[in-house]
Amino acid sequence: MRNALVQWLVDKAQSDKRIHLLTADLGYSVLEPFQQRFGKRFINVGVAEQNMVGVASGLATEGLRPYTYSIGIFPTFRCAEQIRNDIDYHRLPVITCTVGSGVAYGNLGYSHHAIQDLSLMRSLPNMVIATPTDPFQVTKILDWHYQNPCPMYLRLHKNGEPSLFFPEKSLDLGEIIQIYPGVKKLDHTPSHKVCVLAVGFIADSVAKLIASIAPSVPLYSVPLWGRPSQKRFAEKIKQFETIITVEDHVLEGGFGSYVMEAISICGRDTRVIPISFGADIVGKVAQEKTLVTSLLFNLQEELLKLSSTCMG
Amino acid sequence: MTGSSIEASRKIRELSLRLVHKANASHIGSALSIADLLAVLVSSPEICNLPAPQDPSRDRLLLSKGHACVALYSALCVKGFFHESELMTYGDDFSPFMNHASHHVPGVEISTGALGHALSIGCGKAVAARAKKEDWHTFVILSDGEMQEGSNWEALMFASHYNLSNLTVIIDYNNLQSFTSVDKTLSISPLDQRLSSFGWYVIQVDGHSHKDLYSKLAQAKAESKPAAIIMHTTKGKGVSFMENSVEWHYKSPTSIQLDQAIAEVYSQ
Repeated sequence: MRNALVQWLVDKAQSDKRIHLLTADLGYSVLEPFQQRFGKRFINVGVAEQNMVGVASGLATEGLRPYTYSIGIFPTFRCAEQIRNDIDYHRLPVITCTVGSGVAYGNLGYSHHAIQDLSLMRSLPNMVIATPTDPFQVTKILDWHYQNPCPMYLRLHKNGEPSLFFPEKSLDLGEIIQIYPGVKKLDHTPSHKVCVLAVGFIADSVAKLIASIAPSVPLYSVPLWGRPSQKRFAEKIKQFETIITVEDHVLEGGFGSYVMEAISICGRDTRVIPISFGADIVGKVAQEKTLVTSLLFNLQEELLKLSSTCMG
Repeated sequence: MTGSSIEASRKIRELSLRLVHKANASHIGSALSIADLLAVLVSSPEICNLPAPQDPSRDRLLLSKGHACVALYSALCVKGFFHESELMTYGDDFSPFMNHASHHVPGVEISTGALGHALSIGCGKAVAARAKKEDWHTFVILSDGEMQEGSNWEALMFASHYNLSNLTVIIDYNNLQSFTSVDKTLSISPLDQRLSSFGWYVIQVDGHSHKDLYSKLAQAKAESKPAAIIMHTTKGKGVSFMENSVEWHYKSPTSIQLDQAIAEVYSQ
């Protein structure tokens, strides 16, 4: 995903001199393609996230297009007040780009686990949350933002994620994008009663699990969401009676909570089953594939329960 | 310059006093502290060019110590960016003239209130001016207590590293903050040496001498490095019973005190 970001920036920066990439000294061996071609528009602010956000805000107030980059927690929590007051309140079109979503840097410890970032960012009223499932969605999200400048939080995983997305689709705020079953694989009618909504890279594993144990359940990704799209999103999901949400984030303030809030806004009695990290994730240090096992296990349990009851 | 700026400073002080009295608001001491600086800036287009709030060629004036907003609002009113009747909505429910600097007010570049934000934004603006090959200047007004915010030192390093000579900071050094003096709270001394060691060109100025302010601002603007002006001021300047007093960081004048204060302002 991070390479898709850099490739998009390189492509776009050739024709648009407004584009500036700021990093708080992270992105070694990733950001160089931009740095080498657009040295004056590549700003390494050093290990100083508060200043990075302030500088980006200043650039944006003058009509430029800044993108900030760092690992999950650092350009969000460390400089939360700058994002709140300077970017979001002033509605500046800065994209806060993070890598290492969830527990992607699992072995590096709690300091590097981005598992509360969605809670922070989605409480900001003008902030669009972008949670791509694959590199293609990264590109589509950036295209969307380019045409619709606004404060945005772009939550990236790392690299090497498989492509899940259907290229012909464009994105929009609050849209749900069907990931499974794929159009070409559609040999049955997916359920309109039950669905799974997943954000981020975990969608790939979720799709495989659904295909093996509950193939009639459709899986959707939600690439662009947040407070600005809540009502539109609520309209999109009101058709379902049961929704399972999956995220590599804690429940409190995360995507599952967002879905529950949206359901509440529509005044429906849809059942929401959130699959997310519990408080016991804090302090667990292991590889990502180990740490996300609990998410997939819990999802499997819920899908099996649904299969034996409402889905027959 | 000086004659009109003196008149402007009196009007800024009068309006600031009327505003905090009307709204029963705080921070009049901080506002009076920078009244002379703002008077010189809005009276001297050759120093700070402010033809209109959205004019692309304007110099960018950022008030990081957003709690002193009544002085900025009053200065912009004196400049003619809005009518006094609009200004007097200050403190009313839903007025754009809120009790910390608001970007909804014509001429206010950014909203501030939390300290330690505007210098980084000013750095971004200075980088933007350079990228766009535009020759406007960015001024950022900070408080002395605000220099305790770590973010300012991040920004100071940044401006020096990128040699943002189109950026000037003015630090309002009245040596009073929330509880007591800056020296007793958390000393920032020796501020000149600290700023110099961060790569800034440092200038000291008497913040209540319009002549000195004018020449030092011109000097700072012409400097080939980012310039920091340490502006020595008296908190509450111009009103005897408010000067050098922590309590006027919080209190607003009664009607009797307001009349007395305005009389003092115009007798000097």
